[in-house]
Amino acid sequence: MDLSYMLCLCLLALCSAAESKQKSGRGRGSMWWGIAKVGEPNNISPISTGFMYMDPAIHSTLRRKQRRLVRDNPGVLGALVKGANLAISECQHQFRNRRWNCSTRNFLRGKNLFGKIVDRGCRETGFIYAITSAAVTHSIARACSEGTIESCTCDYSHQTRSPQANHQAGSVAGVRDWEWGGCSDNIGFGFKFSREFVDTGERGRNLREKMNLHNNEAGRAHVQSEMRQECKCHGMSGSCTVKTCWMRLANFRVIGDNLKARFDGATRVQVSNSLRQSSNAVAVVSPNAAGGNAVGGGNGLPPVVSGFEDERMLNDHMPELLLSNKHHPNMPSPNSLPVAGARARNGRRQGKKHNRYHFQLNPHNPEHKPPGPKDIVYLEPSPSFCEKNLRQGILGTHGRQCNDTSLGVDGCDLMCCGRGYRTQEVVVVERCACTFHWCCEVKCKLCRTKKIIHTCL
Amino acid sequence: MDYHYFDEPDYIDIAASEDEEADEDEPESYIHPRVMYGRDQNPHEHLDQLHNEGSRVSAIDPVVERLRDTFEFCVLPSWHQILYYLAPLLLCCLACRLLSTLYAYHRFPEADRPRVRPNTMAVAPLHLISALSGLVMLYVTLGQRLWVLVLLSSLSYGLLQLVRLGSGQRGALAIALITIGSQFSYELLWHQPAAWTQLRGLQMVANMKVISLAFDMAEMGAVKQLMPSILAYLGYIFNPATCMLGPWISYTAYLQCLGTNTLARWRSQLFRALLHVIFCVLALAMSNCICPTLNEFDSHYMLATPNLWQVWMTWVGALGVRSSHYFVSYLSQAMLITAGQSLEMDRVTVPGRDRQQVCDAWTIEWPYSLSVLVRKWNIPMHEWLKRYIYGRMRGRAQQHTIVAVFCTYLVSSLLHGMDLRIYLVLLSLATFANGEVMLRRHLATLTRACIMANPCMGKDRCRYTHCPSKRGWGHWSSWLVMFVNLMFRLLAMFHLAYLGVVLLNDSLTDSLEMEDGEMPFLWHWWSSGYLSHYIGLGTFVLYLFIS
Repeated sequence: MDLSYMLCLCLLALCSAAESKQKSGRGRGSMWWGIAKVGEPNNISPISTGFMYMDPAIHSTLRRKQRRLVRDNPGVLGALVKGANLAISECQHQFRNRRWNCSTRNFLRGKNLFGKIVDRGCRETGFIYAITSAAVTHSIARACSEGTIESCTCDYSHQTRSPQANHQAGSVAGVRDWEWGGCSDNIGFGFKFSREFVDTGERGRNLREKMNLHNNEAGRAHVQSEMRQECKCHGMSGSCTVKTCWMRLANFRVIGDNLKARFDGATRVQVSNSLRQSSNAVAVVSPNAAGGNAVGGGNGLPPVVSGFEDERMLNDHMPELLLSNKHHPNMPSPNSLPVAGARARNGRRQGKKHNRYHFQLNPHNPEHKPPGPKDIVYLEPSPSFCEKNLRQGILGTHGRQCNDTSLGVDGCDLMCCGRGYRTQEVVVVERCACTFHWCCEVKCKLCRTKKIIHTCL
Repeated sequence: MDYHYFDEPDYIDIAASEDEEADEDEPESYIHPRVMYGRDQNPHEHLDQLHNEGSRVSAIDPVVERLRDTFEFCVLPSWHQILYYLAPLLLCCLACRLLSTLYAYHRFPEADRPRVRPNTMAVAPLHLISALSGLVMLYVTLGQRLWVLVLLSSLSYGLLQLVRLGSGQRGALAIALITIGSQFSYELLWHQPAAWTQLRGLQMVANMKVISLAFDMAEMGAVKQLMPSILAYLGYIFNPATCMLGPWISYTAYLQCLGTNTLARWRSQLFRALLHVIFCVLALAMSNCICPTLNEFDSHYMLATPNLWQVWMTWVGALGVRSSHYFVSYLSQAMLITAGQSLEMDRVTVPGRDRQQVCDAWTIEWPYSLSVLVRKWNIPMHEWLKRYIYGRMRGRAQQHTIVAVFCTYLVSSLLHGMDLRIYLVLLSLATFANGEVMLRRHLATLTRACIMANPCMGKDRCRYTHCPSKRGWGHWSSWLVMFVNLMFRLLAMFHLAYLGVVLLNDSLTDSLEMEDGEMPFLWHWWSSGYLSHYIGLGTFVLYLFIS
């Protein structure tokens, strides 16, 4: 028994080592980002909506399982494209003043949208993963309640569940709760679909894939926690006889801001000892232990477990189409799994799929706090992004604009990495004196203003 | 953990360790999000580009998308929920009407309707039907909290017996004081803001009914005959048309409509009820969604000046409060029509007059003066205040009308329970309205022009020289009078927007706990520099100065 176990471990270690070598460390679930450029004229022939999923560009971008998800959920593709573009523009907004400004490149087949930065495991990579997964969750949930996705309807699950506040407020036994419900943003479907779609290529088998999974989950958790309820009362002179409520997803800018804050405080992680011993840590953490973790940061928890309490709730509302995908052969290939692992899988067949989210990540510096479910994690320090290095996919900051008065990252000292900068006066043409005309048009004048611009050497 | 990213010690510089190596990637294929204007770039080129785009930038997309979002995520859910409220309310009213009509049809085949003796056994089933359908309706919407209301009502019935013991007027006055006082003590003792905000409106209507009953009985003198039996009392208090959202109806009005309903002209009534339901649903969408959305459009689309923009914002914010009131009023009108209950505003029924009108939306939106507006805001409530408070106070202090008016406003605000906002709004309103009335009356006598706070009625009844209806539009003075009245109209609208916007925050809370919002509720007034208060006081000072 012991011998065979050891053998398996050795085999596993070999396998993972081989895999990490051949794949240059990048997780495999990142190609779908190219979907953002679908429909742009330089890539493909004009799209006919009905056959969009037959498109060769999509075919090369999406994995087989992702293609099937798109095919089985009509209308989802538009939301995905929208979501990917949302992620790009939000990322570029958040990083507009940084050395790395989230530049994307023209989508060419077989290349990654964000460039080679994705091959590294640095903070920026983590942010890209988190924001793309968050954007997909957000736009799918939105599209769901707009009715553009046929396979999901409005999420009526909220109607039966009573709001938490009532349980605290009502000490009178059996007080009937306010009735509320309606067509809220279907966050459940968005969350579930994002897991199925975004996490397809990430099996969580090596550290890099775990990092990707963690960051994807962090993005989704941010979307979920930003869901808020709005209410209004009506009644005689300001009393609350009739109350109507509805759920809203926050503006994606809020989610982008939150993720950026997490980016600034991201945690560098490494493989924990326990994980190293049983290399494929699918069965390390039991689902029970992972259950009770709150979404709110999870800072005070000694064991580093990124389990999500919402999983149970979300499972209940998983649409049939998604459920049918659950037992698809496109899963961790059986060859690489040892006998012991297979036995463990058989023991808990139901939880098999989501066990990949239950893993431990330990901080690189043991004095730091372990990462919570909403934190962004990374593996290696970021490059300086100062000099151009095309092999690394780094553009450098040559020619970037900077702010000579700022002391922050957008200031000329930091942005230009001490190389100095050039100051010039240019004429900028801007829209100005815009007025609103009923209805619905804004008329602007064009103003020429002289501006002083600093550019990095 | 919040160390800054670029201060990180484990920073490595890849560029130093590795040579630049040309890959197959062309740097041109990267897209920088920021457009830069370099020296080598011709700015005129960009100017041309912008010209080609045209200087008329269409703003349709953000605005329309916002409105579409509002419709999708706010209007539809609100309607969806409100239908679940509306259905039981209207069904209970209809059931009450059908059952009592059926009973009356069998019990009293002839025309002798049971309007003389409300306490006889023959009428008791009618009271029972009314009370039961009202209670069912309350149970559907309130649940267990209904029992609080029942308890309070039965306490009030006990108090009502005091009138029988006490001597007439004084007993009624005592009841009024005790009822209003007890409302405060419930609110203080039974410390559940969430529950009480729901019950406050209902309790207010019940209190008004009890107080009016007491005063009526004291006035008639014959307390023993008029004293309602417990069934009649419950039928009156829990009358399905009025117990939920008001308005107040008098006991006589209740008795008059009891069992006299016929199903004649049911088509036109159904049509009217439907119309009111549609109005109330539209008002709900206005209040819930459209006004907040309009308020969110920031000053980017500035109309003219920031000040005017702020006034517009205030007006839109207050429109949300007003349309919430229209929602409640139209809903209660629909319920009155469905239940076949008329308000009996006048002793003499004017043919063709709407006998179920609760509020006059048009007069409120385009008010002639503040005092007219106050009268039309909630017509039954105004009737109640006029009949039981103002009339009595006027009888006491004949010389001091203004004292009576202020007392009326005071009682009105006390009736609303413990809400500082409402006190402030109502007392400010009293000051403004009174100042306006007195100033306009004085100006009218000085200039002999028809610029009173009440509109001049027709040619013959106008007692001033300068009346547009008398002089015709050819005369210059008509235009001047018209202009002055228009100014007062606009002033009243401004006052109303300013006062109403304070009540906005209350209803826009995220959770049931009202107290967690730290924003001071007078923020709107503060931000506009208490402008309306200065104007209101200015009116008063001007009046004193002139007279």
